[in-house]
Amino acid sequence: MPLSKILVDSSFLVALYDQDSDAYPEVREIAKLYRGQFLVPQVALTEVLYLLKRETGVQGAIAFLKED
Amino acid sequence: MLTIQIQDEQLARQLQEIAVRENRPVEDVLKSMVSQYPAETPSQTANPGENDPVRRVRRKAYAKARQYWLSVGDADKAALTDQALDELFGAFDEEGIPRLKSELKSPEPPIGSLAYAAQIAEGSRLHSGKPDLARRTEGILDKHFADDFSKRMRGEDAAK
Repeated sequence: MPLSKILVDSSFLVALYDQDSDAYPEVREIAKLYRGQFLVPQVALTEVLYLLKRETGVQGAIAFLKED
Repeated sequence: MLTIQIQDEQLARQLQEIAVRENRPVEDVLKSMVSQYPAETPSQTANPGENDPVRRVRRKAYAKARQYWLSVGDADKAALTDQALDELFGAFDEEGIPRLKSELKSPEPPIGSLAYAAQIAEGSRLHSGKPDLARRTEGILDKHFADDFSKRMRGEDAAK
């Protein structure tokens, strides 16, 4: 059964955005291979924003919110 | 049975001398010599790419893709090796169907897809300087999130 939607959690998103993360190469590769829609629970968005602001400052939170 | 020829005459003679001295066949002498080498550990015998996280991800993806191709009777694609798929594999599309590069609708991932998020994230060039941050998310959230959130609600972090 093909997987068309993927639910991601806070740690996945933090690893995907933080290029210093140990897990970054792995997580980026997973993300690049899936063109399906991804779903993020609202609470995970709040958590990621909180974590990035806390650990990397406002710039980190802005980078996460920014969409080209 | 496998036949091995020893080209080095001196070595062959030495082996024979040892066998005569110890009153046993040459094969036995060789066996005891070989037994002195430690057995290969699993990490030595594993595929060299096994420890590369990107390779691991791709191999799992290829396995999933082959499973799908077999389920729809596409034996040609299911027979593609990892090496061939490194060249040819594109991505799982919007429906979750594995596609070769040549089969993708566009080289660019669709907006809202996980691949698109990867592209945006890559462009953000965010560096925390903390390699273990993603692993610590749960701990940080458990320890600080509720407290910091309450403070924020009370306006105590206005200076931050």
